[in-house]
Amino acid sequence: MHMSDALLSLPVAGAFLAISTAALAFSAKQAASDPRAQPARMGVLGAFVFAAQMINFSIPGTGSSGHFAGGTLLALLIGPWAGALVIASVLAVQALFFADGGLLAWGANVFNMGLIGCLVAVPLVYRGLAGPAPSKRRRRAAIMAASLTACVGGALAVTLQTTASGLTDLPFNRFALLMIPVHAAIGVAEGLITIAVLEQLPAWAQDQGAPQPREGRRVAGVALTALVVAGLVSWLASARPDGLEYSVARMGVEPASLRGGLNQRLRQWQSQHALLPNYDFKPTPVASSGVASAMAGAAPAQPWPKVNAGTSVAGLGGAVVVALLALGLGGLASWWARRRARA
Amino acid sequence: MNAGAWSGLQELDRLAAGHSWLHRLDPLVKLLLGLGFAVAVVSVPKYALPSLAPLLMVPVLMAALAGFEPLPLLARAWPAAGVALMLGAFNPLLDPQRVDVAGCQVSAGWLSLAVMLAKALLVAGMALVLVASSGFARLADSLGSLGAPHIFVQQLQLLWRYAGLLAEESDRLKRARDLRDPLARARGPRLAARLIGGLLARSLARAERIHQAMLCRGFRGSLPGAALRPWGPQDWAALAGGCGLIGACRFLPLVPWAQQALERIQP
Repeated sequence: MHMSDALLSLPVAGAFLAISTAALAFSAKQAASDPRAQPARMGVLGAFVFAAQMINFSIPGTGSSGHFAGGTLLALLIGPWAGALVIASVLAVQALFFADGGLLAWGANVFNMGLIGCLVAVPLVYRGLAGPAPSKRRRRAAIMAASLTACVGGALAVTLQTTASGLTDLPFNRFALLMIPVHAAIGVAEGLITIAVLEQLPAWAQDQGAPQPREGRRVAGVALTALVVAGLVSWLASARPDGLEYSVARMGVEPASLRGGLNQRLRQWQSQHALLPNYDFKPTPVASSGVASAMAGAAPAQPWPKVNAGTSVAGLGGAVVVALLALGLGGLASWWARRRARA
Repeated sequence: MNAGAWSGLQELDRLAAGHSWLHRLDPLVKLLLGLGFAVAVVSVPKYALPSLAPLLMVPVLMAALAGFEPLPLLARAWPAAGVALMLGAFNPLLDPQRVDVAGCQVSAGWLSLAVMLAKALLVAGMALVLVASSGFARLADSLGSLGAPHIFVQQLQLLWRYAGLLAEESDRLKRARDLRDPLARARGPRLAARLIGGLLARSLARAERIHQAMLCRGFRGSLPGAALRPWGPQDWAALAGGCGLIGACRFLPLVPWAQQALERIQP
């Protein structure tokens, strides 16, 4: 479920980075006064989840595999605030050291695997179903429901983020149909592992009973805010045209305020001087020659997002030259560094 | 903790003990450059494969200045491409536009897939170069100086230290199991659950003991990382130069210029 930077557009990645950072800052403040958030416990559980996430188990009948996410276990053992912090630290180590999950995608990954599991699934689903003094069977059912919520909720969030970014061509409904059954199966496995591990722990290490005073209300507030903001942001940051552009295009007219006069001149100036008008290279003579001229007729009339000479393989030869230059520069720098080291 | 993961972490820590120009920079400078680079890479449009070529220069230069071998780092960055490959694998089938690539008609989905893979590898490669030249303790400290909450920085440092403890305990449990059941007759999910529960309980108990001992010796919640010094001219110059290089690679039309130069050279 680890998202890489390549799957997210800049607005979606930035928005989730901001949401997760804000939620983690609030969690850090709450955890500082939470007796369950003991540093040694958090450290060991972080190392444990980190190791457990590296072991993939295959999901029978789907041909895919999944891994333990750990949000439910952490929130049950050290509370939701510390649990979210531990997952965030695990994801930071994985992104930095193992290239598992991107740097900018860290916020989205914390949201999908940490915030949904620790701040939604356990405090709202588990506590709601288990009640204050659950029997063994009821506790198991509540853990299973919380694990399923965490995994399916995380998968749904991945689908929304990917679709809003517009970099893959999978339609939302098809992608969701692909993701949700697989992650429901992973959720069952996660629930079984969580139950098995919790029941093998001695009493002193297990769930420390009732949540902190007013914890439910605070968690619900943070979770609801994060989910609403994330939903709004995903919609607003979508790669599709924004509401105004869409409405104007549907009406087939250009607003009077944008026609003629100063506006027209400003737009003309902008298109001439912007470094990358419409996130694209400016038209150059190169674009109409070589590979580019062969491509010119290939693109359909109004593709969206468009594939054009500036943004695709028009400069294939140029790209190879630049890449070779980069490698050459690297060689030169390496020689210089070795020379300095010898000196 | 599996042995491969732990040895991987130790290998990266070993690389961080170097003395190159990049190693001497403040880790915060490298972290900021890494984030800037990620923003530049992610902002490249869906089909703009040539626009990524100049950005290759940044991690290549950094790795060369740090004296790292490029191939082992590339191998370590490869998992980043896995998810991108999984989710982008449908692009060639679902994107119906046809484009001409060097005389071959291909689906535009291949282009977008290639862009996704290249982006994933570039950002992961850059992150690895920066981390391998900084070391984990210094990087966590620099996050603290960036304003990250103290409890989060402490958690990062303790995760790092207790990963070794977990690896030791797991090694002991594995040896005990192998000695008691050398022919692997009694292994199954029930035993695995007991072993995992036991491993966690033992590690938690040992971590609590270590933590108590640390508190007795005057530990007040912050680990002694490598002391961060104030930024010198070298750090400021590296930040400005790095940002300039990333900006130039992203925004200057280097590929069209190279293409024009190629056409002038061709008879």
